Amino acid sequence: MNGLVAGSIYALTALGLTMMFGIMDIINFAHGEFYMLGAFFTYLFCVSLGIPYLGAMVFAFLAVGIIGIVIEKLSFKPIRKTRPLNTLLVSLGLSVFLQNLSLLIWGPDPRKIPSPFADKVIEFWGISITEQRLLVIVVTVILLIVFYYFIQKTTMGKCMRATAQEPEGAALIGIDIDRVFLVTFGAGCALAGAAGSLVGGVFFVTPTMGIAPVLKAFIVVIVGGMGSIPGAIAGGFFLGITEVLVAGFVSSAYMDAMAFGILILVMLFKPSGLFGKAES
Amino acid sequence: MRITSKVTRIGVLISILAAVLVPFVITESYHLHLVNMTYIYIILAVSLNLLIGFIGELSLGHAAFYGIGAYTSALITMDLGISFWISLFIAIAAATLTGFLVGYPALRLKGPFFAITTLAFGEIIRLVINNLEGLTRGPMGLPGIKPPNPITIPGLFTIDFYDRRAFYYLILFFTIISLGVVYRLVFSRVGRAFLAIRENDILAESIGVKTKHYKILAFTVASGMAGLAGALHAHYILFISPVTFDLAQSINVVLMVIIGGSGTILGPILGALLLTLLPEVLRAIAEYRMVIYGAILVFTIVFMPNGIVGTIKGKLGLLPAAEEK
Repeated sequence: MNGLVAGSIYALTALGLTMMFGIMDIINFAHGEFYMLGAFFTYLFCVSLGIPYLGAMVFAFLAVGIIGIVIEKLSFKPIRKTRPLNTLLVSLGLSVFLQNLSLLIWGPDPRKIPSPFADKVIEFWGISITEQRLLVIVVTVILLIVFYYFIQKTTMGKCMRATAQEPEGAALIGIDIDRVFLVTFGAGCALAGAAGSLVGGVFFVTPTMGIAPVLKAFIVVIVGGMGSIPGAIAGGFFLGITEVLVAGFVSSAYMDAMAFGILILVMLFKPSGLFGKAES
Repeated sequence: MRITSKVTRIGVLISILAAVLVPFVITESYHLHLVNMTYIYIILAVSLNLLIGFIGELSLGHAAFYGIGAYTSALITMDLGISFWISLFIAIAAATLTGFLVGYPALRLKGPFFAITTLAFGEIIRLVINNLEGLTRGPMGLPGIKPPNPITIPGLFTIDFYDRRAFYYLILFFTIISLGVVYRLVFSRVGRAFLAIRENDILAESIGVKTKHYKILAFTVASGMAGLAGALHAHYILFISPVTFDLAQSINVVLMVIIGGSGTILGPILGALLLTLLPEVLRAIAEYRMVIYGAILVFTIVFMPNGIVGTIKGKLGLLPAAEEK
C-alpha cells in the first residue's frame, strides 16, 4: 500500500514533467519546487487562513498553477527560440531561486499540514491504512481521470496534442501556441502542487522537500518514455512499488541508488523509454 | 588572429607573473586561502567548460569526479601510506578512467537526457560515498588527511605544505598546467571539431568529424581535471565529506561557467573568481546568497546567454557571427 502512495505522488509529479517535455520541449528542473510550493500554500491556507484542508488544497492547486504561468511568461518564453541548453539552465536557476527563497521566508523547520484525515485508520480486506494515505490515492486517481478527459475531449486538450506533434504545424492552422504553452506549464505546475499538498498531510513540509521527488519523477518520466502520459503514470506506480519492495527485502540505504541505476540502464539500452515512441 | 595571438601571449605572461607575486601582496592567511580555493574552482570550471562551452553538453555530475579524485587520493595516502606525489596521479587516473567509462555510454545521449544521466551518476557516487561507511566514514567525512609530503633539497631548503604559501604555488602550478591543456586542446584541430559538434553535430558527422570520439575525449579530459582538483582539495583542506561533492556543488560550477561566459577561456576563470569571492564580499547578506545565485542564473541566460566575457567580446565584435545567439 505504501508503494501505491509513493507511486501516486511520483505519477502526479511525473505527469506535469512529461507534459512540459512533450509539448514544450522543456525539462523543468524546478518542478520539485512547485511541488514544495503546493505543500507550503496548503499549509498556509490551512493554518493562517483557517480554510479546511480540502479547500486549502484546491486553492493551493490554483495558486501554484498561476505562479507557474507567470514564470513561464517571464523566463521561458523569451528564450524559447535559443538553444535547448538554455531552458535547462533557466529551470535550474529557478529551482535554486525558489528553494532558497522559501528557505528564507519559511525557515528550515519541518511543518505538518493539520489534515483531519491523518490519524484515522481504516481497515478493509485485512489491510489497514490511514485515511490520509487513502486520500492520496483517491485524489490522484480523480486528478488523472479529469486530466485524461481534459487532454482527450476539450478543445484546449486537442490543441495541446497538436502542438506536441508539431508546434509549427499547429501554429499554421491557427492554434495560439503561446496560450497552449502557458496552459501546459500552468497545469503541469498545478499537478506538482497537488502532489505536494497531498504529501504534506503524510510527511513533513520543508523547503527542500522537492529535491528527492523531482529526481524520482525524472526517473519515472525517462523510464516511462519522455513525453508519454501513460508512461509517466505507469512508471510512477512502478517505481513506487519497486522501491518499497527493494527497501523491504534488500536494503533501504541503496533504495535511491537503485532508482538511479534503473534510470541509467534504461537510458543506455532503451533511451526512448518503455512506453516511448521510437525516435524517427 | 595573428595580432590577437600576440596580445594573448603578452597577457598570459603578465598574468602568470602577477600570479607568482600574489603571496607577497596578499599576506593575510585567510585571503590567501580564498585565492587557493579560487584556483581549485578555476580548474573545475575550466574543465566543465570543455563540455558546456565546447561540445555543448551540460553535465550535472561534475562534482562526482571532483569527489572521486578527492577520496581516491585521500584514501590511498591514509590507508596505504603512499606519497601524495604518487596518489595525485592515481587520483587523476581514477577520475579519468571513470570519466571514460561513464562518458562512453552516456554520450550516446544528448541535451537533457545527457544532463539527467550525469546527474543520476553524480547522485549514485554521492550515495556510494555516503553508504560505504567502512571505507569513507560516510556522512561524517574523512578527517586527518595529510598535506603533500614536504620536498627537501638536502642542505638547501625544505618546502613544507602546511604553509599556505607553499600550497599556493603548488595549486598555481597545476592551474597553469590545466589552463595550458585546455588552451592547446581548444585552439587546435580538436577544438575546431568540438565547436563543429556544438553548432551542429549531425552536420559535423556528415563531413567526417568523428563526433563520438571527440565528445568522449572532452568528457574524459574534463573528468581527469576534476579529479586533479579533487586531490588538491583533499590535501589542502585536510578534511573531506560527501557534502562537498553533491549536486549543489555541480550546479555551483555550472553557474561559474555560465555567468563568466561558456565557450571562452577567460569566462570560467572570471566566473570562478566571482563566485568564490562574492560570498565573502556579500557576507552581510549571506542568507540571500543562493536566492541571488538562482536569480543571476536566470537573468544571465535570458539577457546575456554568452555570459560576461562572451557579451563583452560580442560588443567588441570579437565573436564570430555564428556564436552570437
